[in-house]
Amino acid sequence: MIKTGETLLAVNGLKVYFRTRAEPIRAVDGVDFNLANGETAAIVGESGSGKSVTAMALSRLVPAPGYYAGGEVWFNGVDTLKLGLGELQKIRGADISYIFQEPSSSLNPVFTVGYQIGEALRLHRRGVNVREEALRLLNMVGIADARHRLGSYPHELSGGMQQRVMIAMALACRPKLLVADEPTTALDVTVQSQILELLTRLQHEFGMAVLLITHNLGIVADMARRVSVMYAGRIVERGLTEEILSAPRHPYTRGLLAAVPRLYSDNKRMAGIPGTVPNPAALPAGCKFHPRCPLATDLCRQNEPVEQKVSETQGVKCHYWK
Amino acid sequence: MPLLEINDLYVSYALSRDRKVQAVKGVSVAVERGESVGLVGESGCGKSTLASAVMRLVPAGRGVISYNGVNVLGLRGKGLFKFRGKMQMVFQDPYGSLNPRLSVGSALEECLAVHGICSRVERSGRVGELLQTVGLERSHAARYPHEFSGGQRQRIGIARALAVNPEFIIADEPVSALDVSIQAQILNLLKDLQEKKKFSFLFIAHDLAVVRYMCARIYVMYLGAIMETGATDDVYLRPAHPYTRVLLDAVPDIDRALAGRRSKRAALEGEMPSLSAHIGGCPFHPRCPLAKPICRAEVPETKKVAAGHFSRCHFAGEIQSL
Repeated sequence: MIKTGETLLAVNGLKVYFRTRAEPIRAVDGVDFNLANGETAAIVGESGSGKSVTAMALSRLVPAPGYYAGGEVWFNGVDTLKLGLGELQKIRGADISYIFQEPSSSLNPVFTVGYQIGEALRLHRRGVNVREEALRLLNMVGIADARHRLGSYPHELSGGMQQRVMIAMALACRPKLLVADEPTTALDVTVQSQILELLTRLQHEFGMAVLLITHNLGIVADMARRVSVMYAGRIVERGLTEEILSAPRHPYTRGLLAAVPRLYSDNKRMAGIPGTVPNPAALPAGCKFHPRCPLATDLCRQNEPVEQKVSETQGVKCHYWK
Repeated sequence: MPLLEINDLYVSYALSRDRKVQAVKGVSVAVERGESVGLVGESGCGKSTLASAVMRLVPAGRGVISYNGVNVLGLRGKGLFKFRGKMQMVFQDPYGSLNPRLSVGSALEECLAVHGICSRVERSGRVGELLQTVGLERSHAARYPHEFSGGQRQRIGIARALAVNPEFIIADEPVSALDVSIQAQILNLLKDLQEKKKFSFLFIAHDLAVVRYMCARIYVMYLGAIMETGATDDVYLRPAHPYTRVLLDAVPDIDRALAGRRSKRAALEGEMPSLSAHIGGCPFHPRCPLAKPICRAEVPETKKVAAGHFSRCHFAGEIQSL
């Protein structure tokens, strides 16, 4: 049984760069965070912030020309960045598993659902009755008429059903950590709420930790206990979800919150953030947010801020957070 | 008299020689001059088909579409051409709707030339003005679509719609492909333009919070039919149809979560059935938490619940207790 509360994952100074003909692109540049057994934490950011690359790096899945330029990923007592491929294979899909945004592109169109769920079982759980276990998994994720669905191909299922199949595959080996990278972004809002509910229920059942990667602050508010806000390959603010959403300190976090339309608010004008997300190949000097920041001074243009403590649980990288 | 009036419209697509799917089933929608009206619903509910039928991009079946008193479905040749000059569309994916081999300036000049907006010599000046109107620079006219970010491309899509000085703009999911901070910029731009130029606005989206921000009045669509309509505030605060209610409850909302109320998950079982499925009675009854025998037997009439607020539910008055 997994003991909840103990540190499961500790990421220190993670750097993932991408080789180019010119300077490498620093997609993730010094990211630290940790996750306890059984905990749900979120990484929130816009496209190009490095949140997905961070997620992939946990089990060294970043494709070439990406490479690990530094840092450590301690998972369950081992540094996955230093493991041999054989050792790594034992962790991937077994202890750390993933679900992604578009289930249709993660599922293989030419194999049946049953076969694809069985793949992880054949690899990591020798000796189980693959068909019976696949059936149990499909039932667990709420697929109606599961016995019949084992023989279905992915295109015969709706987007919501495909994501349920992905979750069944991800949970086939009872992972200690489930990384959910924009798991509901392509889905309708009612189906999204069903999938989020399913994830919450399964997490309670299995006691696994969930790392949720999303751009949707509403989902963060609903699901996560803690959240890290990423911008330009860095975590610029982190804390308990309530802290970050009700008392954000970083101008980027504030801007992001002000840019989210609310369901029940007076219709006052959203502030938004001027400018665009920076190109990771041409990041500005100093604080990476300064070109879009209303508080920026020369200090921000020259020196990159280090993390400062706001509370026991909240930290922020801004010269002017006070 | 409303500027655009759609009355009991049906649109179907042929699947084969003798099978067809009804995408729009008896929809009535009215938009006053200068009004912003939202149309929400999940994917496949027929909202984009409705827009395409209004633009005469797909043939309509039974029903009436009148614009400024003129029967749109009867237009052909010159009349249709002139109508399309008054009504313009902004699409979800501006990259898919811009010619990659034309510079942005040439693409915009083409709209001006085709609709005879200004003389040849005035065109480049007018293109510059258009680009500035949407927050771009005059010099951007020489660039090609791939040289712009997603947000900038949507600005170009808006400039293209504005080029002919339309009276009416239909925006079909104009911000759903954009990052949060960029989405707010584009929404504010559309809002400002609408206030300044006073065009009528039909805003199609699946994001209920976005529609709340943009529109004074709203239509909620499900399986090709309008379930509820009214002033946005009335519909959001006092929904009179169970579908609207579950749709609102399913949205993960920051304010609600901070107040300790998460989105109500799994309030709605199953997924939207296929449009070609035959459902007797109320189209929503198979998923409705309130469904009674009458819902399976009889299609509900449109009932008035308050001034300007209508619902197609047998139990429209009892939704609050849900």
